[in-house]
Amino acid sequence: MSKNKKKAASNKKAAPAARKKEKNAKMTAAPAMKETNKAAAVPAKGKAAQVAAAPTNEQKAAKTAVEPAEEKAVKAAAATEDVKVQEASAPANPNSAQTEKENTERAGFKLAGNKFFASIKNFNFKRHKAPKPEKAEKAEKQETGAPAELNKAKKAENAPAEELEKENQLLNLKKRLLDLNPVFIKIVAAVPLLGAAVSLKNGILLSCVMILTVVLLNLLLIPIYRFIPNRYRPAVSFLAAGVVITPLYAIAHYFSPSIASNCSIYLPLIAVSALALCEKQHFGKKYVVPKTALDAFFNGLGFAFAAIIISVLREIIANGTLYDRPLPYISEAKFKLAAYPAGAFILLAVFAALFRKIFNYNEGKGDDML
Amino acid sequence: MGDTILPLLFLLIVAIYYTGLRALTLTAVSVLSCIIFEYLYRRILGKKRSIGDMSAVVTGMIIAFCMPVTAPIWFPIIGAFFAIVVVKQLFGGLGNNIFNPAAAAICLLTVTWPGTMSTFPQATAKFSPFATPVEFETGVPVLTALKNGTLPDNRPFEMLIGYTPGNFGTSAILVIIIAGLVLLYRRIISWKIPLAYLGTVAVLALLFPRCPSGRLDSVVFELTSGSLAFVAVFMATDPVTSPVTTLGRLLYGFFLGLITVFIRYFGIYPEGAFFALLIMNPFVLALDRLGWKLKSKGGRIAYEQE
Repeated sequence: MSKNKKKAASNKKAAPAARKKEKNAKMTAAPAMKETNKAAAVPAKGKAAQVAAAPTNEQKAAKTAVEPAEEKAVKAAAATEDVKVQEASAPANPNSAQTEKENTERAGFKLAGNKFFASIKNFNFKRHKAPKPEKAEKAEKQETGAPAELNKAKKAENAPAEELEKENQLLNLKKRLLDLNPVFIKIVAAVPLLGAAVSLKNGILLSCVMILTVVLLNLLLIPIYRFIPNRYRPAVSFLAAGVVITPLYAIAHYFSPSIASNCSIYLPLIAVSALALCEKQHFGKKYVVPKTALDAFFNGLGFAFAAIIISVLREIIANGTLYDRPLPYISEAKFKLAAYPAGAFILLAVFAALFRKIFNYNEGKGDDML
Repeated sequence: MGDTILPLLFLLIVAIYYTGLRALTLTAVSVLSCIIFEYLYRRILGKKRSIGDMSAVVTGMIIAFCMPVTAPIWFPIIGAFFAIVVVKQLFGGLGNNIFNPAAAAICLLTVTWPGTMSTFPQATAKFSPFATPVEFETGVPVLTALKNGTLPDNRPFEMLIGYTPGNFGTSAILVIIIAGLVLLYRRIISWKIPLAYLGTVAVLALLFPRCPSGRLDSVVFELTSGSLAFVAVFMATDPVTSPVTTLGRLLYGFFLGLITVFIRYFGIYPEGAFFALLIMNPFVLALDRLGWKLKSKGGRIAYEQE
């Protein structure tokens, strides 16, 4: 960067150097661009700010064209390269009409950032207790300058609504089944489906074991999770998975030995699937046992939904039967590929594409809640 | 792509001479359905037409050549659908496909209908173009005989001219060799993949013979039986799904030979060349990267500097 600057300063008409600068500005300003499109220009930090502070010929020309171009840029969401450069250089312009807004928003972002870092600082791994109230009040006073009582009142107003929203998002059966289906959209716990869900009986057994495993693991782990240091949590959860799956495996073998032996190794492997192990990591301290267990149950239902669809299709296509009974017209046409994992992969891909198309899933839209 | 059609046509003529007009019917159905599926997919999704690159024709011919003459006529249609729509166009068309479409289609047919795909008629039998043959005298192909540990009936000269039970388009070794030389001379394929492939198979057959009559016989039978030579010349050198660098090509051929021999010796199916192709196709980019690193650092691998 510094070399480029010097070059550009020495010979201003050098076109390649200017292009490089544009590229760098784009690269650094790229993460900030999303927010600028939504609300207003955000000061580009670091290198982009340096670039913007050192105006070249092109950027001077760009600044003059900022004010008419900005409205267009806000209207048209599709930001071309020129618009990006202009927006990145916009905050350095002292004469623009948005300086006041920017200042207030800057303060808002700073405040949010300070709060975030303060929360990280105050978080204590050993004690697992909330930070003392006096310190928090002092920090708030220093940050905002406003009295602490007002802030407290605001928090008290906002907090229950936010929690309710989160709970509504989490405890939503329709989302777990369709919008955020663990198998078709998150592609979690696909191994038992690909390996063992060859017939409807296998699918039913797999989904029953999956639901029980997920719920029991939650009931076991969530109460004790807050007392366990972060580094030991994987080991503890694996141990708990082993504890949960052993009796379930034995019960499955007792009630339906043939189906359980058909499922072979994929039945006990359910315990180490990502759906069973990682799902509870997303809950904080606030969530208590009944809610998390209910959410885990919905997740398990989502898996069962996918498992039954795929196992029914695989059984019909591969063997021409349903629940081990021959179907009237299809029973002679057998397409053996569906019984192999390769065919299951193709089926899973088709369903994943369908679900993503129907429910408008975008990458990163619901990543915070598995 | 269009340059490989002429040698394939010569193979088709030999097949028609041996087995009758049914070979022509199967090939025509396969090629036509490949073209139709490609056209329909592109038309329905509103993409550019891509029939002009002739890759669909080559894929169709290869799919048809790798089945027995007694296969029903709807076999190549299913193979063409899987090859063109699922393996090639869903990945983005020619140039973006990870797997060899023809190999994937043949593997699908072999896995789904193993009985039909592995019963071959005797070499003397001739078939009418349209009626699906029901009862015919089955011949024992060389690979099955080798798998059972018995001495094959055929002599090496019969293997060369293709007068053996087997897939109707892939058994004429002499024609395949001449076609390969012509393609090499015209620089359409390179010598590295076929040589490494066949060399690995030959060395392994020499070291671990299956033929009871001796090591050299084992080498000859392993190289000339099945569709090994056809795969090495026409399918492993497919420009889309094969490496570009020298080291990558040599390693690709070596691993292809290794996996082919492993499947032939220990697998369920007698022929392992198509499965070996499918297994090695995802590693093409990795092999190429290895080759590029060697090239850029003057013969030394320097992982840390990158």
